[in-house]
Parts: sequence; C-alpha cells; structure tokens
Amino acid sequence: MPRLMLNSRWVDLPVAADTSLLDFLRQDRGLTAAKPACGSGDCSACLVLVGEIEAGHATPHYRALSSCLLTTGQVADCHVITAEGLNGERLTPVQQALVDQDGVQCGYCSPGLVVALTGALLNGQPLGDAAGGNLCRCTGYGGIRRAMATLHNHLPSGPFSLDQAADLGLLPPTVAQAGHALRAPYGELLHFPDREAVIAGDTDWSVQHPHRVGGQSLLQLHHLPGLRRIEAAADGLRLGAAVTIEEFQRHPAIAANWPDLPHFLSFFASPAVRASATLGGNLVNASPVADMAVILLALGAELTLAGPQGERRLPLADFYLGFHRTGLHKHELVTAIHLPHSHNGAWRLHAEKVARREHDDIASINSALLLGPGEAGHFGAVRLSAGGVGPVPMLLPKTAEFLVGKPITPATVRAASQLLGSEVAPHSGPRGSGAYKRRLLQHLLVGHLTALCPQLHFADCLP
Amino acid sequence: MTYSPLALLARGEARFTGDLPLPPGTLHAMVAVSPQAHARFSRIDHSAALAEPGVVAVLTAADIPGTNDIGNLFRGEPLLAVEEVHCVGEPYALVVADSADAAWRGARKLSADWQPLPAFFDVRAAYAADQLIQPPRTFALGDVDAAWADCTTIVSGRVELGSAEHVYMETQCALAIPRDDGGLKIHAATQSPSGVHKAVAAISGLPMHLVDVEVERLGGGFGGKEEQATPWACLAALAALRLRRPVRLQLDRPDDMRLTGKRHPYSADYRLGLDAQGNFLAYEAMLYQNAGCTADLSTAILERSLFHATNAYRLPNVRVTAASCRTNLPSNTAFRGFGAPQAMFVLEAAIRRAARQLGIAPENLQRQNLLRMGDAFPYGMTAADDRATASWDELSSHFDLAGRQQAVADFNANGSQLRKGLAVVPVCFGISFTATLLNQAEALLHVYADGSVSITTGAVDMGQGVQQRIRRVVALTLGVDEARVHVASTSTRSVANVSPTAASTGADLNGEAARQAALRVLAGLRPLAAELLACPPEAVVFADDAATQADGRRIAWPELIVAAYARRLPLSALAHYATPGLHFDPSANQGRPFAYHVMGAALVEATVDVLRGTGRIDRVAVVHDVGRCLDPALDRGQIEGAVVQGIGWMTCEEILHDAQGRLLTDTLASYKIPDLYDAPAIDIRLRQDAGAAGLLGSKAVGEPPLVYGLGAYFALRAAMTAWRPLPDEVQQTPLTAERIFTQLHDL
Repeated sequence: MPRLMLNSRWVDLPVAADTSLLDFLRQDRGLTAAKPACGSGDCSACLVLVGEIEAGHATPHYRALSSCLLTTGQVADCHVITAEGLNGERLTPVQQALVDQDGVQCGYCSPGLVVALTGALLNGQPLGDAAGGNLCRCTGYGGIRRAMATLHNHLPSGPFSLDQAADLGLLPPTVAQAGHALRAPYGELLHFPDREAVIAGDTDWSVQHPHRVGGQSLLQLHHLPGLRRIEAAADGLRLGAAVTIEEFQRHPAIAANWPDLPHFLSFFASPAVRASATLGGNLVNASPVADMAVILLALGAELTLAGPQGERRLPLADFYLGFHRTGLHKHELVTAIHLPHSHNGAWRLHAEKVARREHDDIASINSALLLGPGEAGHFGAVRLSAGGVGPVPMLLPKTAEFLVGKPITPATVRAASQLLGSEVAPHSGPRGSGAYKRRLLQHLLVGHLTALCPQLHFADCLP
Repeated sequence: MTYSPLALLARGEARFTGDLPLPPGTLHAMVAVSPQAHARFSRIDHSAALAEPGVVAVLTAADIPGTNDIGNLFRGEPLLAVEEVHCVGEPYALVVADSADAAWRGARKLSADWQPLPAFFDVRAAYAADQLIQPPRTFALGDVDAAWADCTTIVSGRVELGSAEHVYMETQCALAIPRDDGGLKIHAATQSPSGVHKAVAAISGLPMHLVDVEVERLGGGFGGKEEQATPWACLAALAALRLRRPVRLQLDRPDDMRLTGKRHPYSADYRLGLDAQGNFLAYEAMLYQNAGCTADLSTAILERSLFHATNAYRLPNVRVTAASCRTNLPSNTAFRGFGAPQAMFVLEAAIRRAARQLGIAPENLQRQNLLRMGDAFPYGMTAADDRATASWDELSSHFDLAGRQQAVADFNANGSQLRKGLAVVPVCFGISFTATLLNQAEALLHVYADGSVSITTGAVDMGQGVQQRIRRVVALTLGVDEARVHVASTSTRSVANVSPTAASTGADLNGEAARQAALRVLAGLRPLAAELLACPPEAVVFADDAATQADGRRIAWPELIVAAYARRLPLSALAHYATPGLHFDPSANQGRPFAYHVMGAALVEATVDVLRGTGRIDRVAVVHDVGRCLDPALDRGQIEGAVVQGIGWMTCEEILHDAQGRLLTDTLASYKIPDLYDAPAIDIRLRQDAGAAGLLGSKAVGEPPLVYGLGAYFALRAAMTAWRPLPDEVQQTPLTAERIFTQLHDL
C-alpha cells in the first residue's frame, strides 16, 4: 500500500491516488488545521509542507503547497507536515510573532500562513514573497507584515536543516527526525497513457475535477527525476518538462541569460503554485493567456515530444492548434523544452502583464518581446508574443517583422503599434473588452520598447 | 497546557464549525438551485439524483414540517422555493448523501420543468417597473427647494456603485444533530445565533426551547453571516429532523459565491449647491438600492444609507430619497458599513465635482464644510462636539497634508508615465442598531469554586476580538487577572433572544451586559469582603486579584470565593442591558437613533501607471476616534482590516453577471481581493477622548473605518486627472485596471 510520512510517522494511504490531500487530512486523519477556503489554490489557507529528496541531494527539500490541489498520489513517499505538525508545547517563533503582532484575527487563514512562513524560513526565502499568496480578509495584512518583520529581525537567516529548524523551535524534533527517513525517488517513464490522466504539478487538474468520484489512475510526472532537470546544451538550455516555475525562476542560468525574467515571474500565480506548477503543464494546459507560454514563445522555445513511436522536436509556435488544443498526439507527452541562450545578453527580453490584481491573477493580456542586436539606432531582430488576444498564446510576426531594421524612433513605435492593432482581434470577456485588450496590447508594445530602448519616451510613442 | 484563543488559532487547533468532529452516521447535504433568474417550475425529477451513489434522500418544500419561511424583517422568504424562483442559485431541493461530494454531485443531477418569466437585473429598470421592496423613504432637513436660489454653484451627476463579495475565509457551514427528545442541537457559523434559533424552530415546527444553537467562532463574517447563515442551518436542521441523523452542510467557495448575497450595488443621482464662499447650502440625492430578489435586511440597510447621506458635513438643506428595488439576483445583504459607505460615496463624488468646477482643491471645500458642534443631522440629532474638524486638523497637521499635496504636484510635474493623486475622506458614523429594539444584550456570568470565571454573551467572535474585549471588561470589573476569565461560546441555552453581532455594537452591548453581570456578583461579595477585612463595604476595592481595603489588608480572590460559597452567596448572575435614551419614529424619521457618533479622517495616496492603466494605493494615514481605548491592538487591527476591505471594494473587486443573471466571478481566481502586495502601509493615530457613551468610554470600531477605503477611488481619480482632465459627471466603481485604462485613453 502506498504511504506517506505524515508529520512524525509513516501512515498508509488507503484511498484512491486521486483523492484530494486536503480531504484525506481532514476527513481520514482528523487533521483540520489545513482549511478548505477556495478549492482552487487561490488562497493558501490549506498549505502544508511537502518534503522530498530531490535528485542529487541527500536531505529533503520542503515546499509549501496547497493541499486542496494535491492528490494523495502526488505525495506518496513524501513527508507531509501539516500546520498542527509544527506544534510543540510552546508556540513556534512564527506562531508567537503572529500572535504578538496582531497577525491573527479570525484565524482561519493563520495555519496556512504559519506553514508559508515556516517553509520560507527553512528555505532561506524572503518572508514577504513566501506569504504573497496567503489571502487574509481580516487584518489588512498590517499585523502579518509586523510579524514578518519580527521574524526577520529576531531569527538567524536560513536555509536551515530540519535539525537546525528544530533547534530554533520552528518544528518539533520528532518531525525533524521523521524527515531523515525519506528516500530519494526513483522512476522512469514506462508508458504513455491518455493525456487526460497525466498530472505534472497538480495545480489545475483538481480544480477541473471538483467533488470527483475518484479512482482514476493518474500518471504523476512529478515522480520522474528525468523530467525535472535543467541542463546546458550546445544551443542553449534543456529544461525538463516537469521543472517547476520556481525552479526555473531561481535557476542561475535564467537570470544569467535574461536578468529581468526572475522578477517578472514573481507576478506568475502564488508562491505555492509556482513551487508546484511546471513549465510543461503550463504549456500543455494551453490557456490562451498562459504567462509562461507567452514568454517561451518570445524566447523561441522548442519542445521535445515523446511517445510510443519515439521522440520528435517541435517549435512551440507550432504547438497550439486552437482554443485549449495542442499538437500532442494521443499518448504523447512533452518531455523537454529547449531555449536558445541570449548570446551573453545580446538578445534581450521584456515581458508585460496586466491583470485585475498585480500578483497572482490571470492576465487580461500578457506579452513578451525579444530584441536581438541591431545596428546603432536601429531595431535588430524582434520576436513578439501575446496572450489573451486570441484563442491561443501567439506570436505576432507582422508587427515583429515591421520593426526589424527600422530606426529606433517614436514614429517607428507608433507605426508598429498601429500595425499591431490590426494584427489581433481579441474577444470581449470577463477579463476585459476586445477594444480594451487591443489598445492595451498596443501600449504594452510601447512598454516593451521603452524598457529596452531608454531613448524612447512613452508619451511620444502612444498610438 | 492551555492556550489563549489567539494562540489556539495560530496553532491551527481552534475548531471552526466545519472542523468539529462529526458524530457517527453524519450525513451531508447540498442544495439543488435554480438555473433561471425568474421562472415558474413544476415536476422536480428526483430520479437521477437518487441514482447517484451515496445519495440518501431528496427533500423539497413539501418535507418542511413547520413554516417554509425564514424571512426576518418581512415574511415571504421561503427556505426552499415552491413553484417559482426569483434568482439563479435559489434553492428548490435538498440532496442528502453519505459524503459531501456525493451530495454535491446529486444536487447537480436534479432537474425540473422551468417556464422562464421576465427578469430584472438593472436597478433603475426595476424602479421604473415599480419593483420595490417597500415604498421609497425620504430624509429631509431645511428647505432644499428654496435653497437652490441662494446657490452660486450647482453641480449634479450620477454614481454607479458596484457590489462586493464578503469573502469570509470560512464558507457558510452548519451541523445539525437530532436530540433524543425530538429537539435539535445546531452548530452554526452565524453572526445571529437567535436568528438561526427562531428560523430553525419555525421551519421545524418545534418550540424554541427544543432547539439549541451554539456558535464557537467564525472564520470571518463582515455581515455575510448575519442573515444569510440562517438558510444553511435551517437546511441542515430539516434534513436532520427528517432523517434522524446528524447532517452537515458546508458550501464550497464557488457555491458560496453564487448562492449568497453581497454588498448592495447602488445607483444614484445627486445635486449639490454652494454659495459664493464655498459653503454647502443644498444637497439632494436619489438612491436606487439593488436589493436582489428578497427583502433580507435591505430596508434596514437603506435606512442606514439615509442616516449617513450627509456623512461628516454640515448641510443645512437636504433631501435624500432612497428606494429599495427588487431584482432577480441573489438577495443582497449586510456588509460592513451596512449601506452607509454607499451613501457617503455619492456626496464625496458631488464634492469633487463642485471643487473641480470651482477650480479649488477638494480638501479645502471638505474642511470648510465639516460638521461643527450643534449642526443638525437630518434625523433629529445634532453634532455633539467639534470632533469632525478636530480629527481632520490632526490628520492634516500630523501627516502634513499640505506637504503631501505639494509632493504629489512635484511628482506629477516630472513627466514620467506615473501620476500620483491623493484624497481625504472624513467619516461620521452613528453607533447603535437603527432598529431600536435590537439594542439589548444578555450575559451570564459564573464564578466557579476555584475562582475561575466564565462569561457567556450573545457576542460572536469572527476575528474582531469582541471576546477579548469582554474578557478584559469582566476582569477589570471584578479586579481579577484576565487569565481567570474565560469567554464561553455563544449558546442559546445560556443566553436567549440575543441580537446579531453586527452594527459594530457587539462589544458595546454585550460588554456592558457582561459588566452588569460582574457588578451583580460583586455586590453580593462586597459585604462578605468587608466583614473579612473588617472595614465598611464601601471601602472594599476589588483589584489585583483580591479584595483590598485602604490599609493594604487583602483577601485573595480564590479565598474570597471559597468563603462566599461556604456562606451560600450567589456566585452567578444573569444581566440584561438595553442602551438607554434611544428612540426613533420612522414615520417622521426623527428621534435619537444613535448612542453616539464615531468620527475620523483618512488621507489616501495613489499612483497610476498611465501607459498600462494600472493603479496602486501607496499609503494611507488615519486619525480615528476611539474614545477611551480599551485595546489599542484590537482597534488598530480593525482599522487596518476595514481600510483594506474598502480599498478592495473600490479597486480590484468586481462582481460580474452574464445576461441571464449567472455570476461570472464565482471563484477566488476570478474575484480578486487585495493581497499582501496590494495592501498599503497604513499609519494610524488613535484619537482618545473621555466621556464616550460606549463600553467603559470606548467606541465601536468595526465598520466606520471601511469608509476610508473610498479614498482609494478618489485618489486614483486624482492621479488620472493629473495626466489629463477627465469627465466627472458619472463616477463608477470599482476603478479596475480596465476602467482606469479606458477612461485615460478614451476607449
């Protein structure tokens, strides 16, 4: 029977592998600190720490993840630490800071917040970033900010091993001890099932299957170390399809090639979702406004698709066939994404996103532009992409072509922006009217070009 | 080891209603709801639902043993629809199953024959068709018709105020357990235990003494669990009665958002007249309230709009009319502020239009026209003092309003794609339930043989800290350590006929009742203490966990209690409190509806990115009136939370329906509340003064600061108009990124 290390001991998982982890904790184990509040990974009230030994490491790495999104199959053989699992006799420093600084009002979001902050301390991450996805409707975040400041000022900075964390009182020694019992995962791709049954980061499948009957067999790509590597290749980077957004964001090769990209990715979803969602999942899900797809399109990414008939390579630009439709054959999987490198920064990327809320929101539209080296005062090669303006994330080749070789002047930008307005025909929807999205995309082009070419002033470039 | 309530919450060990261990055999319930905004229906088909594995029963209105009516202010609000539905999401049947998932799946398999009827969603269209919850009401002062002749400036305009979802983090939840005597024990996540009590008894046909309602704590309420927690408790009760099994009903987030009411959207027309010196002379407004499909609390909310239409301003001639209009949306309900912020927004919009017409800063007009001592409100009260101007001036001087105005102007002169703006919003908020009968409370206090104290009141803690305030008041009154006092969960067995924890009155009413109960016990202990200390009774002081007298001799509290028990003295007391001096005549709209007014002012600063049309609130500074502050941390926390909730309502929170009245923004993915990044830094100065009428001289703090959030709208608008002049005849909230962009760029 599959099992998981739950707080300080192994427990069996006598439930279907597609059972919600949150339901398992609350209903089967009576552990009610993780709260059901949104069911879609949008509030972080149900966070738990999930520890696993990653390839090439001897000790487990812990991520704060939304248990409402996870299936029990995803955490088999992992170490799950719930909010009550952190409790000792005394309050932990995180709990104490929240209580002392009035970061707790109704308290429904507090356990999730404690988990987020504890995870950040373990990993040596900035506390504010780690708690960015924790919604609180009572405090206005004032007390939570004061608690984070207290922790920042009074605790040594991590990362900490579990034993160090136990010494600091962040979690009980028995829970730290339990982490040592984990083994490195192993697994390889043995079969290529129907696409509907494939789970990568598990951030959308559960949302699409609420109140499910259960019992579907799922292929959990997350357990395949081969899909989680980032490697340098001759022509750029090879990213395993199950690399998470956060791993991508933090990898030194990403910042080395595109210095602004890690910051831009902080607007992508919540910390808990970034820690789980994968590059491949974001692409295969084929949302017309997927942030990562738009970036990878501009970067000129290619995909490796693997199936029973072997592997093939396909430009990402050719991957999307229509609304939520891709060129994946039945039984085929995306296994890797290939990115050309930036030629020591000669190719520069700028990304834009506008949403109702700045962080952790689905964009009204998003866009990315890659600018190659050009003659002095002139645009070099351009690749422009956008999401939310058509049925799929798309390249906008007419506008991009127009810019190539043109002088870097407001007149060029205005003309390009004019052309861009005719290159897209966005529909109206809950995230904005068609007219809004079209004009906004024209403005985001101005945003790209003024950011990449500081000699341009935005007001001169407006369409 | 025991933990404080806050520590329990931080440890994740505090149990909310949905965390309670379920008795063996517990079933789960979910409603089947109307897919139509307005329709007649017949022939509910149970078969597919009953075939769903796990489904145990399907119940309809015919299964209700008592009265199928849970209306509070008005009758005629059925628990389960009969023959006709009035909004998408109105429950018409209840599916009971052995798991929550099976109940949810079963509920979606129920069907009926629907014959659609015409539906209204637009409030003005509903008004024009005479779809009114009650006849329009008017509050007036002076002679507004005559005053226009004296005005040198008259502005008029229109306001469209959006709705908002409460997003209490804990969704609606109730657990009903049948008792051996045929009665029911209800655990409900409600702000109104007695509301649930009455309604469960009514639908069950049981006398109230056979129904117990207990409320441990809420994961947020904000008004959304005042009236609208009741149906879920009643539905769980119905299933428990019918099936003789415990039944839990907890909505998931999308259902909670689709099925429950929200803040009332308002549409309004206004006219404001000023004399040549800039004094407000006349104000007229027509408010159209979108009530949704039933009365719920809409008429009370409308009344509070009328009470607050002039906010903190002196307006000698006023006429404000308000109509509660019936539409085919889920019935809108209480939400922090209870209609007052909507009315206040209208006047703030009018003031800014006048300021622009006169070419002066709005802040100058606002300051000049604030209430002074003796100025009349339209409902028969007068301003008791000059706190409106005093708090404004403290805000202005302490947070350097002139310097901030200059800094904004300097920033805007630099020509970047960012523009800044600021706004000041004052508040004058009346405290008391405007329904005078609700201004009463009951408290039950026990002192146990070991000296520990238990207090039960009707106050439900939903994060606002009312139990901590009550604990402090009881400890201060008895003179014992706070650690000796435990605030028990509200139970209708301990306290009866309690008012909802609402209208910011929870601490004032229940804290005072608790204090009276403590005083009653002390009155019995005093002669004994005097005897033991050999002093006159009036010389005994209860403090520092003891009874003491002037020469320092003392008897420790536990010893005193042991002695009192041995003497057979009463160690328990039940006290009742009714706020004195309140009266209001709704036929004349005159009286003394409020115990006191809370005043304050806030400065809000915002930045707009002109290129992208995005906005952010940079900073908020608040001067707020708290009377004699009982707990600065609680007061500050309430202000911070209310301000951010108000900012969300004004900016990123938008409720959207499709043309059939179906909610589009039904998840936290599509409905965005402010997050950690959105929340601005908030500087707060608590203005303390003596002599307030609230609990031990303190003042209610739950709702008034939400009004400061209105400043987010006006600060963003100020930043936008710093880019270029914009039309201001119509103001529409929320000011989303799309609205900012389309207004800035003429789309």
